Amino acid sequence: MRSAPLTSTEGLARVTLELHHEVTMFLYEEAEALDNGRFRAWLDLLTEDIAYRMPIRVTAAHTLADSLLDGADHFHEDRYSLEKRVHRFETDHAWTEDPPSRTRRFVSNVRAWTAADGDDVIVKSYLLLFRSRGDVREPDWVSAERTDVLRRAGTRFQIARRLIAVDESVLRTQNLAVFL
Amino acid sequence: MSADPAEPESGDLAAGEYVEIANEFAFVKVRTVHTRNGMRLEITSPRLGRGIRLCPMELETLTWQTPETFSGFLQTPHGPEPEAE
Amino acid sequence: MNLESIVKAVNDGMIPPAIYSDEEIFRLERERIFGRSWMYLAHESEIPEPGDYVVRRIVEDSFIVVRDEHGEVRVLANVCLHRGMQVCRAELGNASHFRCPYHAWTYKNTGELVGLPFHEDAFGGDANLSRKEMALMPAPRLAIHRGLIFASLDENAPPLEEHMGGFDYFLDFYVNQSEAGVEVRGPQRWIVDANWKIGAENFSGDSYHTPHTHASVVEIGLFREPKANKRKEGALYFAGGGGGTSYKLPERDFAANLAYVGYPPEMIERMRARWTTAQRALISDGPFMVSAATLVPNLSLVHNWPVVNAEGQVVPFISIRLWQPISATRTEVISWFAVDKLAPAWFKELSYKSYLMCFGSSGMFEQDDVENFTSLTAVAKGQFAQRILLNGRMGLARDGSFLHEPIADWPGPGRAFTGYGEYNQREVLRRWGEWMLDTGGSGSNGSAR
Repeated sequence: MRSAPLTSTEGLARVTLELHHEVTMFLYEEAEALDNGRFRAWLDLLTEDIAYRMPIRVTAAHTLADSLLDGADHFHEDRYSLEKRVHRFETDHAWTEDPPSRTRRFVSNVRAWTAADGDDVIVKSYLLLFRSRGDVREPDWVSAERTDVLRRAGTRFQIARRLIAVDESVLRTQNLAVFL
Repeated sequence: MSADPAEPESGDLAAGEYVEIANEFAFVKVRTVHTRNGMRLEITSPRLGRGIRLCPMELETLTWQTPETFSGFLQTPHGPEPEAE
Repeated sequence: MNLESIVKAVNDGMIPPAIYSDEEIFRLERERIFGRSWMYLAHESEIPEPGDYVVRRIVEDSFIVVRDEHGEVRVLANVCLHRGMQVCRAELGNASHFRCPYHAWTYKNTGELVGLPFHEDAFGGDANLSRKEMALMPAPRLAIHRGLIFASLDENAPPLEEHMGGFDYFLDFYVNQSEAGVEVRGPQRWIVDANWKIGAENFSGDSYHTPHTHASVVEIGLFREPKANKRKEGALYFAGGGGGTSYKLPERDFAANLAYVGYPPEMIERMRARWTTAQRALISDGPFMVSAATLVPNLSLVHNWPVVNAEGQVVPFISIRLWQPISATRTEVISWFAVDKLAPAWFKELSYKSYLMCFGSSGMFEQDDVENFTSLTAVAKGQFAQRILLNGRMGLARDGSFLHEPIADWPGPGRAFTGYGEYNQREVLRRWGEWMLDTGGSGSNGSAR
């Protein structure tokens, strides 16, 4: 039940300063696409075999290895389901995001390693999502650490794996009609 | 060799990997330790600074205990209490 | 408006918005509904082994739902008898004993107090503080139906079976597809700024919202069914303590219809063996397939069958959910995925995916529902908005008679209609009104509170 598999970075080499800059800019630009509702452009940043996962966080004893549930998620997506989600936002009837939320994704604490098998880069980052809807509601926040596997695709990167380790066990946002 | 005060002192015995067992109430480390002629199961509580090494027969006796045995052990929830002065 | 006139209006199908926003009304609900009715806490598959526990709430009261060392399920107040500290602070775990973090009072997982530090010195031993007489307070009533664990804070609550009534016929389609029952994953938990009743009503019978609110999921080809014409062919049923929606099925054949919604032959055969003739008749002769449902006051279920991959495969899913109130205008939604334990592994995985795409915190149906629920709640706070009575009379003529006759040859218990109508929402609110006006003074339901 316990212990969602996190990509291990133990023993891996940190990337060069130049590569670190490149992956950081990649994450910033990804956040920019999402914050501006360019969901098609965002899909283009994902590989065909993308595994996009956000396991459920539980309140558990500190002595346990992990408080992310294995096999119980908020998101457990592949290319098909992410395409459907984006397609839905393109219809005229996705009420939950019409009018759209105003979102701001703050990406920080970027750390990157070269994967053991060569070209892939493993990137950990902190994400703080600010989400404002309408004019009377308090804004929502979602805080998480993301572990990504970035894969070289020609001259650029694509996200092959994303694991979102959310900090709240009970989300304080009305739904996850947002990508993290 | 670890300087963990919880470990019983009996020389540099060969030992297996620690397995940690925890819930929100307690945390123990368990491993096999190998004596010259046999082996025991070592249970240590880092928080209490206590440890015990149980031989196979002692372990076997555990298999016929009921939960009441352990409830009895927990009458003093943190182990033996010093006599009131 | 006083409570009597509110309930009268509700029973006429005209709803004062204050029932979705007024804190005084919520205070009464807390006492008269959540303090009395059967509340769903957990599923047995969440605590399969001795010592497994989860911590759940009934409004503010926290309970440890645990399988004790002897295998019996217990629901124990998560309150140390000494100074009221929460004994379990993790939301799940495994323990044979619970040790309070404050002063280390220690309880067996049956609830009995077994140890406390310096018992003799501090309390004069068992002669003065007898451990045998002290235990974590059990919920006054506990009942398990098909693995669903319910508790009631009212020791005089009618038996769960009586509360559920004929609804158990329908519940079986969700949680009794084989002799093994279901296993659950999750729950996902999140907080919405909405009154708890709105979701409960919606799931009980709002087929009218589906073609419009959920237009997007049809447009993108995720779900074939909710087109307006098709949706109104489904039956809206209410029996005992619950009701729900259904979809009309294409064939008059049990196996063909279950295959149509994506069940593999081996599961269909187990359902055939498991369900009664009358239950099978709903699917073969109705022919209807259950979809959303609510057991009053706040437990809902979902069964849908979306297209789960690019190959166009249709795979059904089941979800169990609780509308756990926090205040008049805030609700914690607790949503589990459920699947038959004997289902093949491939089915469990695809069904899980199908659930996540449709319902739960990220589900594409759910996303639009919650936008409605929060908006309705916000509006219901307005003093001017509270001058209107919301119209919940769909399916009723001006004189209160039904616009359409109930289905004559309905194979199940209770009453059912096809076409659009708010029959079930009115039933949910009628029961709400009964609870609210029952002060418990002299009725059979009464107990010292």
